[in-house]
Amino acid sequence: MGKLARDGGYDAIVVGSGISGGWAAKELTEKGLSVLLLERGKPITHGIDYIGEHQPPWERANMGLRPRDLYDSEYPIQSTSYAFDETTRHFWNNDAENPYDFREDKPFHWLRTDVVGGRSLLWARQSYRWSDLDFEANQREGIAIDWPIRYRDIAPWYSYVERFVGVSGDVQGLPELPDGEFQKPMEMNVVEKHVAKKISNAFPGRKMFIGRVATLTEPLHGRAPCHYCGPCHRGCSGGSYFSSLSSTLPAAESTGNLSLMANSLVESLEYDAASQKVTGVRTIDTKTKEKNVYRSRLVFLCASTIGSTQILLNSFADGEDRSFANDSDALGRYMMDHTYKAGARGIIPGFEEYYPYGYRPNGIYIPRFRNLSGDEGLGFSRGYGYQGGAGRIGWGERLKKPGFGADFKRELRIPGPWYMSLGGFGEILPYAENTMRLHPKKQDRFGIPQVTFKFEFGENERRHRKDLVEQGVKMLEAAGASQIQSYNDEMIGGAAIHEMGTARMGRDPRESVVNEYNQVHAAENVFVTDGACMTSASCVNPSLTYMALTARAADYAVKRLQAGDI
Amino acid sequence: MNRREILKLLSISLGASLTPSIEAAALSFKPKANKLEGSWTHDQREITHICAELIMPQTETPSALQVGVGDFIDFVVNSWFTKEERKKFLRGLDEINRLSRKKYENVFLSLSEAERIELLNQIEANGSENRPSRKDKLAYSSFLKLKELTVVGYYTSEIGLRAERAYVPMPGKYDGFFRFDQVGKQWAS
Repeated sequence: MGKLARDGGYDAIVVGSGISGGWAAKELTEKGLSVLLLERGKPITHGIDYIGEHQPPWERANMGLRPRDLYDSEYPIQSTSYAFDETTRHFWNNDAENPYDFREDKPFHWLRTDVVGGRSLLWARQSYRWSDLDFEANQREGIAIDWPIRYRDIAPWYSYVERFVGVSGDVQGLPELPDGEFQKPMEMNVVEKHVAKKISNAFPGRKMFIGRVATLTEPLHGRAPCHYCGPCHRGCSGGSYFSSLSSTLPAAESTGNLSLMANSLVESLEYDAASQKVTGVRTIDTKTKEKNVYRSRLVFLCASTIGSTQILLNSFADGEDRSFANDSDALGRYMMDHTYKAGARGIIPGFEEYYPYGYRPNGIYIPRFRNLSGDEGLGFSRGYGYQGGAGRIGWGERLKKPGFGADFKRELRIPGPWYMSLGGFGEILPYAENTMRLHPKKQDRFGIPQVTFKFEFGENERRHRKDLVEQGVKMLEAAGASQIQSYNDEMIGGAAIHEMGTARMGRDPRESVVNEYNQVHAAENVFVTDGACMTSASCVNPSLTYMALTARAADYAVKRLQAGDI
Repeated sequence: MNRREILKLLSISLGASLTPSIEAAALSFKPKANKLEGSWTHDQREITHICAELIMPQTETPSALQVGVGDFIDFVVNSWFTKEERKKFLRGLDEINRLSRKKYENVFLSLSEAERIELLNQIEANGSENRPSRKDKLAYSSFLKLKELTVVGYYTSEIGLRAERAYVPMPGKYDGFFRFDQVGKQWAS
């Protein structure tokens, strides 16, 4: 345990140990603050608890097959993720134990972990900077409210976190997708390079390049470069991909200023209306149900978009029945995600003498090319980017054809043809009607009101998805693909696991929850630095931005604390 | 077949190159009893094992049953299939038997190997036609499922995976221009 502040409390309490909370803990402890880090999930140890890491197929539980009854009864939501199986189940939330509410005809998927390190263990690690195309979008289009910050405010903090995270990628010089402080890029394979050339020839202005990924290609702070074993989400004891467990938490612990308490669910904040400050953090021990109040001068809410807003919604001043942080009525509104599960794939003929070596934990990226210099009259605003890659189809292809016996067995050794896939991630606009609320009656096993979601996609999302599917097909055609299949699956809120908004950032306390430094308007000693603060969604993966905003907010908070302003 | 016999077969088929871990895996290979008595008949189970052996026979590498695919099929049918999946699968096996009696006036288990292969080829041909009859489809879908279970079971067994695939759990690098003839098999990790 780290040291206690002299008055018996802590300098700061950080709620949540995921990608944002890890950064808050690191920055605040390195600046000399005593920090209590509260995590509702189970304690796990880097390396030790990665039980699926490098596990050979023949040692897999249940003969490698999904225990479907268990998944259906206890993990119906979590098991929809590609990263959920018996090698990772111990990281995930149990849906049966931790229910939430949504309308049956409008499903919302809340994918969440239940361990120290949070979703930083399981994230897909794609790391892209926002640009002013994103920060200015709301203002330019008169949608929702303007961001109070611009790229120049966050750019140095992107650099700051990238240098510690370790992002591999290559420099492209695109204003709409600023370059970062990159380690050397991973490589595109032979077919990806072919497709990239065909796309830029056929569509001037469109580029396809290797993904920017928080996976090391060079050693960094004692973490090893990637050894290309493949399934990062099982955990990496070499720390090759960035997670709280591999990176920020060890840094915070090494200061001697960190106290980490797992199994500690935050119920609400204790708010003093007179001083307009939060005076305590109310917790419930998830094992014993024992309740406690912890005190600190600063509170950083990094419990995830939904988790942080749930805490704020459940926190009232004495005698009030409404959140202290919701004078604006924006709290719980303007929920966003990215559109997901739409795109195209096809067969790329030829190249059959090539068969990539190694399991690269990264794919390609095609950055947004729509509406870059204003409304292009496409019938939708903003845009989308593609992620995907090329590879050879496995033995499933041979299995489908008739034949068995010695020849069949031998033919199974030969990989199928090359495929190329392009999957879109599109920007969802911030709608006031897309909400998370506390359910008036339903409670969880700790007596905390359950979250209830109301989430719908708008016409803008349907239109950009139609366009991204069409353009995906066209680019594959230009690349010479055959048997092109497009897909545009059911749209489910939360499914991209990029949920954002619900405690948005803005200049005016009458229409936003936090200010330009993620400081809650109604409580100057509380900062919300995870996805809840997002005022719009961009179409790029958001985690890098949460990290940069968290480091920036921590810097600001400590300066204000030292100046005696908080 | 007991595990000593399997080991003997393996040392023939793989030369004398049994690594200690393969040997350990082979020694720890314990054919389990049919756990859910009554969920399928002895004959139905026997059909699946015989088909597995025809789907991936012994070549320069071991056969399906030698690497433990029988155990895998037993597990899937007994413990993993839903009731409906099992019912449909077993009806398909019964249909294979019915087709056998129709063609050879003999049950599948009494056919010669050549007859079995001929019948299964016919089932695949009829089943993959444009509009197969309901019964042809039933037999075909169970045989297709058996092919899948055989391949999955083979590729998830240590011996089978090491024999038929290039098991490289720690590649150490990525090479997007690697040439297939340098490995000649599909990767596995």
